[in-house]
Amino acid sequence: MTRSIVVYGNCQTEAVMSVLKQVPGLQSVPIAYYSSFERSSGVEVIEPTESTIASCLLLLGHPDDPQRPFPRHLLPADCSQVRFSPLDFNVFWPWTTVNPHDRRDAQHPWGSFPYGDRVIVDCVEKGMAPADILAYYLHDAWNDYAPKLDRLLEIERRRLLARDALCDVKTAELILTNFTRQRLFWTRNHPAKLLLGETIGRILTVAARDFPVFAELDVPAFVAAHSIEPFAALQVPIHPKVAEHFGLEWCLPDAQYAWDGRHFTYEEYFAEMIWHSFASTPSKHV
Amino acid sequence: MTNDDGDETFHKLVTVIAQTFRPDASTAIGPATTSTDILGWNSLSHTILIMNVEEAFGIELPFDEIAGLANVGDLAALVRRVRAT
Repeated sequence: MTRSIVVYGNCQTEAVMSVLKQVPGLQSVPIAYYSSFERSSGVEVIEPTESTIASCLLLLGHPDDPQRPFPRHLLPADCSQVRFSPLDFNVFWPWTTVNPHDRRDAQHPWGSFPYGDRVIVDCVEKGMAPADILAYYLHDAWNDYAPKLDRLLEIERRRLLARDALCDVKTAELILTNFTRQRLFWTRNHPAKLLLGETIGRILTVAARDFPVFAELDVPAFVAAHSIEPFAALQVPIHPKVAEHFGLEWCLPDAQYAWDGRHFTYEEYFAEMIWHSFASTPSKHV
Repeated sequence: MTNDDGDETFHKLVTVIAQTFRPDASTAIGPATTSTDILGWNSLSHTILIMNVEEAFGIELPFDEIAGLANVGDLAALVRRVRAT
């Protein structure tokens, strides 16, 4: 029987799988991906069959997501498991919310602006005009909403550490000790290359305890050569007050943010989102 | 958990949850509602919900109890307890 490797989790684990396939010695090993979330229509993924799971020698993945847990009962008794956390962080976007004014289409299965902003949603629902919303957002909203950023950071710190306790690969301290000095996230649930690569390196290092194919790797060199940047096409701007509060060294006031093939400043991005809110009809959110 | 109809805390909490996750009109939020019943309520967005709840009620919830809440009724009970202290 040919033994397989299965990766389980959100879209980040697809990136893990793509790097895994570059490991010398694994080219002939079936590597399959089992999603922890319901895929959008139009996005086709071939998931492992029950027999593939039953032949699994190594499961690399996130702890079970309640929405779509992994069928661990199908795994053979000798299957090794390496758990690692999803990489996510709320701290840069304290006003994040579901965007009820977004819409999905074939080109945007998750919507055009799926990362909603609470201030903008409130303003739209109060009936404010687009130009007034933007002016309010840029000048007065911060004082009115006054997010408790230190409280948010502490809740996040504890969330990350608690989740780390369930995992073989630890990433909480990596995030918490570096987020002011280096850009680690493009959106609250999309890590940047630096963080994703470091995490993949740690996954390979843990897996090497049981599998010589990983132990033979020069992990830092391998990760440097094969790390990828799958999420940089969508970058949610960070409020200047958030950057100032945390002293984000990498977050400059005139930064450009990539979004859907275009580049926006902070102000341009939110202007676009506001106009999109008025042009859209409500739809199911992410 | 008893039915909380008429409970000001519970109704205010339901409003905060609805504003945070914008569930479909067909999604009723009651004491037994869990995160899996509401699209978008996951461990990541739970932090934002807690921040919104704390702001709405002017309280801070105990860290150790934030993550282990089984359902909306448990969250309402925690809010009530913190408000009473």
